[in-house]
Amino acid sequence: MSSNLLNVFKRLNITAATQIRLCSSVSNVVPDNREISVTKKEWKFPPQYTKPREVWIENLDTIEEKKLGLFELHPLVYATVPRIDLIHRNVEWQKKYRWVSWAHTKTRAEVRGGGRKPWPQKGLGRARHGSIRSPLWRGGGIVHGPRSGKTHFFMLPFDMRIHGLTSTLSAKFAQDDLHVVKDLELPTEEPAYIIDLIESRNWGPSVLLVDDTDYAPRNITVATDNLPHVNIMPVYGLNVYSMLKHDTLILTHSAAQKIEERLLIHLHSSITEQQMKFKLSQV
Amino acid sequence: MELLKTAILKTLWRPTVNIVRTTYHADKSRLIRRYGYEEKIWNGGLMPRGEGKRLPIPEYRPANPWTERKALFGQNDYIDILGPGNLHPVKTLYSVPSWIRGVTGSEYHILLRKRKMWARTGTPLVRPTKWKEYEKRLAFLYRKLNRKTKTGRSST
Amino acid sequence: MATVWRSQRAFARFFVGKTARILNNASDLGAKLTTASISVSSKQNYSNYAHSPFVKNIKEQYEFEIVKNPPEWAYVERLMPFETIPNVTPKAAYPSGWIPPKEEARNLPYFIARTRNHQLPIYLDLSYRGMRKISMIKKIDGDIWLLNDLIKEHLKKTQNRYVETRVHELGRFIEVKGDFVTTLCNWAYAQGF
Repeated sequence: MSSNLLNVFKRLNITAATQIRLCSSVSNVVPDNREISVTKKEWKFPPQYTKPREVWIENLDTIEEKKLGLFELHPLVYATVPRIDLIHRNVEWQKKYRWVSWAHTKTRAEVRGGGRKPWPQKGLGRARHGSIRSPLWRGGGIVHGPRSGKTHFFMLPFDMRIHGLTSTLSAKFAQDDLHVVKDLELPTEEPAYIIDLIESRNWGPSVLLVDDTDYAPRNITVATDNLPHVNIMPVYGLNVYSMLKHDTLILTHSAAQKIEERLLIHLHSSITEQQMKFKLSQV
Repeated sequence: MELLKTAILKTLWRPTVNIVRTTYHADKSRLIRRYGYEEKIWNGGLMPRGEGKRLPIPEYRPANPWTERKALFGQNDYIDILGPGNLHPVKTLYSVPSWIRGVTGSEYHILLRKRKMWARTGTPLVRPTKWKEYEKRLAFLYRKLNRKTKTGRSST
Repeated sequence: MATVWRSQRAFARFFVGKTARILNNASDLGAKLTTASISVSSKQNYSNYAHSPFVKNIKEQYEFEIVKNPPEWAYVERLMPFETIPNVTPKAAYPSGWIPPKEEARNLPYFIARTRNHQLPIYLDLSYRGMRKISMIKKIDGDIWLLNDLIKEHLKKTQNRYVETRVHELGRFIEVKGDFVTTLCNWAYAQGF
């Protein structure tokens, strides 16, 4: 990787406009004529001990990968210890807090009929029964059965959800499953293009694209419309479950910054209010 | 002399000798029991199979894990952290009916809330039987919880 | 924007709340808005939100104009709560006795980060009615096992006895059996954390 960079700088000094492909067979980096921008950030919350993580800014407008620049990510968000226990609790919370079980059984009071005594109490030699809907009877009511509207709702503490996000982002980044691209602009709206791109860059079959804006560019929305495993989300839609469900997480440059900013604000502010017990009247 | 001794000993001491007759299970002749009875339970090995029609095995239809609902499961669950901060994730649970969104409690609590929320709608008039059943169940649960069961440990 | 409001009860109430708040800001604290003074009030209880008609031409009680970024806004901003906990301004001495972290501590192979409130993350955990005392050092970065060895050595020197510790590498914290919070804090301050 570093030799490629050196190549780029050397060629920048010597020639400006020649299109010679000096690409090595090992990596598919094509040195471009544009200058590689290495951005040093002005940190609002400078990293204390761990060095900021550097990440390539890649492109989506060609199938071959181009490195457009280097970019720094805050270690508190993208390089924390991936706590698998926290990730698990987050996923469990995501599954459970929306889960309402609608399974329902009728009690003996609700099953139709059964008001009169089926036969007299004495004198017939039969067992005594008072109702044909008793739980002993076939077609009778169910005792202690599921009653409709059983919720499994709870709120995971706020800091645990923040750390779930940072843990998952860090795990994804450490496993090279997190890539940063400049934007989501594609040259065509052909689904074959995005399939080829994902294949050639060795991204997982399923890809989650995260953008800063609510509306993604037209080409990428059309291209991924019929690909159920390639999904686009805004920054506020990002969550632990989706990050784990999709193999590769692609953040745009602005989305990566926005996520970092939002998480750092919560990591450096008082969250007493959010940590309080959940009350239904608060929402 | 020796001969005499043995003769005397033989007359005095006569050990009882049993001849051991060994018959093995395999050598026994089988007694046919329940002659003419046909065993209906299969004991020939694995997999009970009927004589004629085979048991129906449902065709394997794997569920599609990438339907839209599954692919985007969990979206906006962290909207209070990553979003502008004025929206709680419970408010985005559009798939859950509003009267049960973010509610915890036993059957009694949920039914109480349901009755409270639905009392002002058309339900009591449009679905009188259902409404009567809610009321009946609530009355039953009230009596059960307050008169027939002990309360748990107090929270204080 | 106003034409979009639906006239259902909940929204009418919401709107009343909003107007009342605007009025309070405009130094008209005595004026309480009633539902009757707002034209969107509706007695009809629609069965469905979608069935309710759109509200048009909401009449405001007072005329006001909206100004963006007036010069007085800075004084309002001054009163607003901090979004994040502010950074510490460096001083020669702090009257509260708070000790700032030193810059050279970042060159050590281990590190204890300050909490968001700029305090040391060293706590005492009491359990079993105060019978079990555990001092906990959290937010450790770098070589946690080296830090553990150093803490053990320091405690053995100061307490004249062996002190048991437990390292949680993934959780990045060390638990020390016994109440040694003051000792550990002093040690951490001396290291520069």
